[in-house]
Amino acid sequence: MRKLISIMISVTLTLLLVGGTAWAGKPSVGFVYVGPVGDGGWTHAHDLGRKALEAAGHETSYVESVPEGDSERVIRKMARKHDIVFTTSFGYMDPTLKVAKQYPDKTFLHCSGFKQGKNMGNYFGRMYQAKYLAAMIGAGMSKKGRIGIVGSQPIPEIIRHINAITLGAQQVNPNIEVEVLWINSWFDPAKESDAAQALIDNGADVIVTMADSAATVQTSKKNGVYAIGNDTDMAIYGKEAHLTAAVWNWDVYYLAAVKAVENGTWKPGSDWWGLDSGIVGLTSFHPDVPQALIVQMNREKGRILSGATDVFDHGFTKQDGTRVTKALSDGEMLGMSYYVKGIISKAPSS
Amino acid sequence: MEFFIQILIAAVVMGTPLLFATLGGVISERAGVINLGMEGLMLVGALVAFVVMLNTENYFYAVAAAALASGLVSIIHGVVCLMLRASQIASGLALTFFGTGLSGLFGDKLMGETVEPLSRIPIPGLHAIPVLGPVLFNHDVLVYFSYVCVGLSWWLLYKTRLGLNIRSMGEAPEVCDSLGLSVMAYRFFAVIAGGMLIGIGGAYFPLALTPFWVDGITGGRGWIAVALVIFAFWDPVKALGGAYLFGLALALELRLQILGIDISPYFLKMLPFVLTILVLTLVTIRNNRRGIQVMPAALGKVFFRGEKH
Amino acid sequence: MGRALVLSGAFLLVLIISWLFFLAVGIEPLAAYKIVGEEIFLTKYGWQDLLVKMTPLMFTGLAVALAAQMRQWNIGAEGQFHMGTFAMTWVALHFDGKLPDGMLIVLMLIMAIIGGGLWGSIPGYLKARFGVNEIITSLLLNYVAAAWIDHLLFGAWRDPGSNNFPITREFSTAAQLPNFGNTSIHAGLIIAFIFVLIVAWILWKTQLGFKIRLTGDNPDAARYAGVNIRTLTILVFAASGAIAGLAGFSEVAGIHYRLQQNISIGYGYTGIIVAWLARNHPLGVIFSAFFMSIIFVSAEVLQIEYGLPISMVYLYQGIILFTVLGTEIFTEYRLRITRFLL
Repeated sequence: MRKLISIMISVTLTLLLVGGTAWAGKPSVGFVYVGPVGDGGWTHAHDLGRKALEAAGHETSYVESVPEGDSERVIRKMARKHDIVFTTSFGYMDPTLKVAKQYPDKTFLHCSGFKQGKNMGNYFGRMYQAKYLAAMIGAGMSKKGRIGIVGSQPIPEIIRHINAITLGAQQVNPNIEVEVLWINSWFDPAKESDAAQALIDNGADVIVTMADSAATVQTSKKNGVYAIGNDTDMAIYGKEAHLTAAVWNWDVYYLAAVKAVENGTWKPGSDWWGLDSGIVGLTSFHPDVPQALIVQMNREKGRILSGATDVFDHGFTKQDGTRVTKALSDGEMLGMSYYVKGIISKAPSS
Repeated sequence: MEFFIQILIAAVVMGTPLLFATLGGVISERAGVINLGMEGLMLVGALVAFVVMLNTENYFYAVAAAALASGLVSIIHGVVCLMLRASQIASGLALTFFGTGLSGLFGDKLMGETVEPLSRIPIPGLHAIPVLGPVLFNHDVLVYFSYVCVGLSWWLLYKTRLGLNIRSMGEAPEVCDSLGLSVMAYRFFAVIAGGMLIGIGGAYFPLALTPFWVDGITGGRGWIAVALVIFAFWDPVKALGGAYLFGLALALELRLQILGIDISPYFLKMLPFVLTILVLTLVTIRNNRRGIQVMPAALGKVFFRGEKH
Repeated sequence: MGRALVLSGAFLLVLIISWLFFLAVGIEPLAAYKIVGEEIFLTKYGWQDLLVKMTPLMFTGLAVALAAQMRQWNIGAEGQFHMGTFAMTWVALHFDGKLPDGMLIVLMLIMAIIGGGLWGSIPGYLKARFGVNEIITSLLLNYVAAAWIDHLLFGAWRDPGSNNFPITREFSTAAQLPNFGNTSIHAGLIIAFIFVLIVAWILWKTQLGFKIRLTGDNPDAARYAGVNIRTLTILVFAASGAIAGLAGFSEVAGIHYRLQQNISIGYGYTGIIVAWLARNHPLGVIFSAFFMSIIFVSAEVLQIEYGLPISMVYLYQGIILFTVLGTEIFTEYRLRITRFLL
């Protein structure tokens, strides 16, 4: 009991101390999270961005695990307390817009949606570019020519990433087979692990996860195959298996957006930042990855950085055989619901 | 054939934490106390197992500590609904909040830590049996322990004086009371023993399935176990079948995708629950004809000493 | 009177336990009371939050309480909530613009009643016809309803206009409940009060209500008095489910204007606690729903003001619920206490 109390006190004191170091004059920033900051994935990545704002002298606070059904109230409370509010789940879009109208002098930024208002913008990162590059490493390391993907819930964002992974893998191995298993849940570590096991049993020797937990990295390690991490660096969970991870660096965006508001240069819009901004990237590579493969990947990375190419702009074949020759618009990418050729699983029908 | 065996292996692995938790629920409910707080208790068990494993690297200590911790926390449930006579259902919900909060709070600093998962130990001789061998006898120690627990629970409930008394508490506490048996003591025993098993079910996550800590590591399995207790008709042996059937449903959802069979995963999610309702109804009808009770008659009812209901 | 004493006692105990909790986590208790109190009761938005949060809890609490008047335990309000949202959303999506003004929202309300009512009548029927335990069937049906909503959101009802996210398209204004002025309080609150009064009136002023209460108190006596318990069980369960379905209607048509995941955050389960605190009295539900609303909203305030992690908030809520439940024991002594005080 004494330990419980001392831990609770220390946690709270840290929070209070951190919260107390705000400098006057800097806009204060509130975050509304859909998961716990300890999820080791999506929300954790956003919270690292928040900590960067703290370090830059902004007063910040967050509320975690806010269900969509309760979000409007929490967003409103955050708006009363802070100058800028970031809401980081698609489901918060309408509530954010509603509250933004009630607080015209505050700034609202919503992640992964598409609605805007006079004082509300939205933002996202082109994670598919990082996934595409990570998949090149994965394909190069697959001896069996088969990548297994653990999908969470079949929404366009995840399907877009799966397609980017397939196209990236084909850059290295045109005959690569990609198998996808959906766990149909946002969070279920045991099921993620079982999905990885099923993919490995079925012949995959590189596992890519779209889910937040490190369960797939652990399962890959146990089976002696490779894995690619999602959202945050998962190497600590199994460096023997961890090839690399496609990660978010939200600090880049948060620092810039808050700066723009502070300087009065911010305008509502749709910020969909890419690899060149650094908002997405890859973590360090497994020592087994050969230099030649890294060079090959870096060449493609250079082409993306220079704007010479993007993932879905140089033509590809859909799973049903139809050929796409035009570059996809952002809107087409955001609503993607079909698989590209090379994925051996059926696209989710519903 | 190998694919088929892999499905069954996955069913046993996914079913094992459910089995422990269901056994715990069976013992508690046999004494007449519903526990809706299984999710909270499993999380407490999972967290404590992980912390102890991290510090001692001893599986036995980890499991024992998980059982102890969940047993202790379930004392609260016992105090609130046995001594203070509050609604068992409401108290179970409070327990879910409590356990989820407690595990999240202590788990805060554990991100990134990992432990060595339990390794498989094939049972000599038995594991060579075709199909049955790999499916049942090539697992980690906790899976074998769950078999033992099924046997022990069955023996306890049906073959011992203690078990008879526990079951009587769930059927006719007034009679027990008039016979001079302490309803409070037996029910407390069942709640704590059940809580310990539920905690071991939680411990299976960080010790075997997902050897790290993350908030809500059980992924809501505690709620499935609540339904499983019913599916098992409050019987330890049927709990075994039920847990593996639910495990099979989880394993199938993924492997049907491999086979390219297009069934809505949401219908697959509903299936075990619809099945439970159907089976429960059919069995109730059959037993009505024979005049047998299916569920403990006093389940969920508050017992007032010296009052007749 | 005795009940009021017990409730105030419970509230006092909650304050004391909170005091200890705040001390344990390093928060100055008096300052915390002040901040939470001001934030909740002295600001315009605090009151709004309380009333908005209270609305679904009134419905689900009332649903559970009505069944409990007949000693039937409806643990399935969560699922009935979902089936209510299903039925009303179906109307909102398919009949939009095809009905005269004002008819759409009325039809949605009726469909939510039917959706929740039919779903609720399943455990009622199984209990009445075969004697299958209603606690169990109503609980299991929650899982089925949740999966059904997911099936629709990830399938037929997915809105292509929202980048194929698992949400329906936004309802037209004809399918939205009006708000009070510029606030987020919506007409659902009024409907909740109306239904509380209706249920109270039925229970104590009608023959039907007398039968329900009689059956709850003494089924044998009711049988002798000629009450058809089977029909009554199905009816009460259907009515209970209908009220829980209205909670879904009120949330979707009053706040979200579309169906999406996680609209109910366990309102059906919290309704059990609400009903229990109210001793299953419809009018009591108003107060206990308000009380639970305070607990939830103040937890949000603590999170924002003190940066408490969600785990600590869950722990706090668990402790508070245990405390409130624990005071039940005092109701047994309430007669003695009141006599002593008077």
